Amino acid sequence: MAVRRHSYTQIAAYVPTASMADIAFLLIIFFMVTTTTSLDKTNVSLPATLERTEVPRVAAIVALAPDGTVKVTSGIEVSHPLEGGVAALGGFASDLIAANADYPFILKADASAPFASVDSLLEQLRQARVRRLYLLTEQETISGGD
Amino acid sequence: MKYARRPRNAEIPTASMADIAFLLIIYFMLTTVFAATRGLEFGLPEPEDQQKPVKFEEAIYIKVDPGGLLVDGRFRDLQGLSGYVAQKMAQNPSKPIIVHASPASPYRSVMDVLDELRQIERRLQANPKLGPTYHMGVSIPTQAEVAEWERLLGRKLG
Repeated sequence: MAVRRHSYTQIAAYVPTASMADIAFLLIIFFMVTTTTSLDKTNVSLPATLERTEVPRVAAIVALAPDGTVKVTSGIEVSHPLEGGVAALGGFASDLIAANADYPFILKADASAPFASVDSLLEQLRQARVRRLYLLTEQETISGGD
Repeated sequence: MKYARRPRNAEIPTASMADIAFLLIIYFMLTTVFAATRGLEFGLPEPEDQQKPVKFEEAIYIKVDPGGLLVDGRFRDLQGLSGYVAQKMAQNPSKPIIVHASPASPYRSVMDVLDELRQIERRLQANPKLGPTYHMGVSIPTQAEVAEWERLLGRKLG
């Protein structure tokens, strides 16, 4: 019996990359749209809560770092250390409240900070007649959060 | 004398476009931070606000210590606190609540208690008798106020 040899046509193997640039640009557009320039970049571990409400986009931020340093921003400029310590917070807040009595404030405090530090900040804000205050938190999961 | 012109194909080189695009992706991925934009709303009383003083004996007293939670004289965990307060508030929704956080207690513990109280308030707001405008009377006394109470009671709180 005669054996016939089959002849195979050679197919060059290649990875199609024509749409790679399209995918890459889609990803770039996603990151450009979702990226927001945060005025305060203080690295804190926020407490986790189940109950959370949206905080205003334009608001003064008071950040309390784990080492006890306090940074502030009026919501326009990048946050800066509070010169004069916690006692100077009242003056900073009063200036903003004098311009707008309902100006919102956001307290971004580290979860491990002693309550005494937070209490002194709250007292300064109360003395400055701050009405709208939000305590920034992260989402707690049902299984237990932190 | 005439020279024969070679036809030229006009093209934009796009070979490096994917490389540039991926460099931009890596840049955005590294610099992107998902900012927290939610939190608990907190009402601060006016400095000269002469509110009706909360009677210590009539209130639910929650002491937040680094060692745990003391609720009306008994140590409870967060679940125990939630059940106890919910039961008391169901009987009397206007019952005041005092959250006394000791200076050394971590901010996290105070927020855990406030979160539990806010959840109870949300459940009570669902009650048609109370409605969505209902708010629990939660007081967080300052250190000066605690000192004043302790002076009046003649003993340490908690």
